[in-house]
Amino acid sequence: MVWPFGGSKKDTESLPSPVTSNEPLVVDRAPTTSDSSTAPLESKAPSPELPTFLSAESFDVSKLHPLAGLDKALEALDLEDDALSDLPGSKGFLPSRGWSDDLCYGSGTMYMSGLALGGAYGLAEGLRQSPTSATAKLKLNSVLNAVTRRGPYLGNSAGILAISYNVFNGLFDVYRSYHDAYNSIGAGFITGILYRSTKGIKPMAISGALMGTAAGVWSYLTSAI
Amino acid sequence: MADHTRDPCPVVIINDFGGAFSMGVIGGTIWHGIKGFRNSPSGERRSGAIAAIRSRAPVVGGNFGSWGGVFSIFDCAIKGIRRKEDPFNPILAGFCTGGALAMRGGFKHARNSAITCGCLLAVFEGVGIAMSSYMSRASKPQLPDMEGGVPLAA
Repeated sequence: MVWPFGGSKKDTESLPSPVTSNEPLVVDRAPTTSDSSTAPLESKAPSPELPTFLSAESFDVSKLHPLAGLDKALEALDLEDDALSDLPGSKGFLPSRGWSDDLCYGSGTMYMSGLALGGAYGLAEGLRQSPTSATAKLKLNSVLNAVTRRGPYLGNSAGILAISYNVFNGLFDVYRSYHDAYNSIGAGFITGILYRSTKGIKPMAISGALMGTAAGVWSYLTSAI
Repeated sequence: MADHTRDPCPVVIINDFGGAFSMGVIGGTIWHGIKGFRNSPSGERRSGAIAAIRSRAPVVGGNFGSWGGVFSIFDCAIKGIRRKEDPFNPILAGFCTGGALAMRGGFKHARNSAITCGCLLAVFEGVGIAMSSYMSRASKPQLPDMEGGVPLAA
């Protein structure tokens, strides 16, 4: 292995001869076999900012390790998009590493959206229903009551629908060994059916159709962006 | 050392929240399903179980989920303030979570709840550290056989 600063005698002959060599500017930190009098890296007019061993004239790049390729640009930093990951879920709009990511992030975002929407509705309702002569504390109390009544209800429902959708989506992925939009639509359909399963056949069918359509639109959007 | 199995900090809050919520919903479904089944009269057991699940399981899920979400928020905040990752972060976060979630019940209740949650998290962290040191005892570097200060063989 050839060290750039210091090395065997034959390498020093191929390097440009030192023009000014008063005292060595660079202390040899690597163990070298040459004697200390040869200072191969003393090149002409070292720039004041760079130490001499970094200037390009002072060593021959091809004498370094053959795979260093320092004369070419730093290709290692060019990341090709295809090579970043081959997980099936990584190229979509919302990257995910599998069913647990889908489950946790999906139900988390759906719950928080439901909570935000329900909370906003509860805020408006609380402000509207408190009597106009109420003090700030009473208004705050009524707003908090309305928010805690509306927000978590919508959030819970949205989160449970998301859990059910993701569980069935994952099951279909495993069963069919394929990840495409039909899994989503099927999972949405079954979720919709289960959601209204206590109300009768017709609400079940309507709900299933609605959820299946929503799931299909969602999977189209996330794969198209 | 840094835990690279978890996602980076702001996003992991959603992950923790969703995971805790899912655990709460599934656990609550099983718990309240059995409870509703057993506490219903003989002809009504199935519908009693379903009614109990529909009314109680989301609440359990929401409680678990808000605990996990608030815990994760405090954990990320403490990590950001301390600029370190060590077992004290979850313990402090548990303390703050217990206090924050009980705050509406008054100072004493919040204080007791905070101390309880902090101790619980300390137990979890201790068990976690014990488990990881037990798992890694096989890969510790071993001293080679030595004689007079010089390794034998190799």
